[in-house]
Amino acid sequence: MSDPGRRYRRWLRLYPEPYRTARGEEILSTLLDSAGGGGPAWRDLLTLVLHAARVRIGLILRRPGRPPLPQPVRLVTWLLVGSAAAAWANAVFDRGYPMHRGPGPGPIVAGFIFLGLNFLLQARRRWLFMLVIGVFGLFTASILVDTRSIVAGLVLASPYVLCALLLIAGRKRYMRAISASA
Amino acid sequence: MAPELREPTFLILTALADAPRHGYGVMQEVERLSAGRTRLRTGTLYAALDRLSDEGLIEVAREEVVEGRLRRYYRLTGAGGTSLDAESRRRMSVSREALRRLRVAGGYA
Repeated sequence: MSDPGRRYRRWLRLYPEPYRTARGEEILSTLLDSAGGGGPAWRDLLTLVLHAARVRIGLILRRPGRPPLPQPVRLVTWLLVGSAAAAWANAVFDRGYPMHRGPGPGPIVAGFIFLGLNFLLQARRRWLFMLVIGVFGLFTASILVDTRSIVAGLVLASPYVLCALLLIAGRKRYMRAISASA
Repeated sequence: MAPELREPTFLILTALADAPRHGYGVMQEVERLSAGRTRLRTGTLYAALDRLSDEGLIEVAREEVVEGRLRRYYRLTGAGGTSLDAESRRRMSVSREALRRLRVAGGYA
C-alpha cells in the first residue's frame, strides 16, 4: 500500500472497531481520492478525529440499528452527561473550606445521579421515562420547599424544570422510538 | 412542516438528486454546485452521510471496487426526495420574494 494509504489507515484506528469494519475501507478510499497524490491534509485529519469521537460517543449512548432518540430527549441526555462531568470536576478541583478536607461526597453522588438518569432514558422503557420526569419534579419540589420563595425556588430549579419540559415535549416521539426499536 | 435543511445537507441531497454517487463524487459535486464555496472534508462528509442514513433520507445504492478502492454509492430515498423538494421550494419562494422586493426598491435585479 502507498505511503498516504498506510498513514490514513493509522488514523482510521481512531474509529471503534465495528464502525471501522463497516466503513473503514470506504472512508480510506475517499481520503485517498481527495488527497490526490499528496499526503494527508490536516483539515481532513481534524474532521476525521472529530467524526471518530462523535461515533464513539454515539456508540456509548445508543446501540447501532436503534432509531435515534428525539431531539428534546437527546438534549436532556447531553445536559445530564454535562452535569455529571461538572459535578465530578467540582469534586476534583474544589478543595472545600480550609477547615474541611474536601468538598464532601455531595458532588460525587450528584454526578452518579445525573449519569443514572441518563441511563434510565437510554434504557427506553415507558415507565423509566415517566420516572425520570418524576425525579425532575421531585428535585424542583424539594428546591421550592428549601427556598420557601416561589420565584427564587423556580430560578434555582430552572434546569430541572427545563429538563422536565423538554422530556414532556419529546414524549410522543420517544414512545414511537421505543415501539420502533422493540 | 419538515425542518429546514442546513446548507451542507441541502448540497449533499442535491448532489444525489440525479444519480447515485460515492463519497468522493459527492464531495466533488458539492464543490461544483456551490461554485467552490463549500468544500466538504472527509470527516464532515461521513458525519452527514451517517446522519442522513439514520434519518432515512439516503440509502446505499451499490458498491464497487475500483483499482483496489471500495466505492459505496448513495442515493436519495423517497423521504429524501420529498425533503429536498420541500426545501428547494422554500428557498425558491424566499429568493423570489427577495428579488421582488429589490425590484420594488429599484435599481436591482
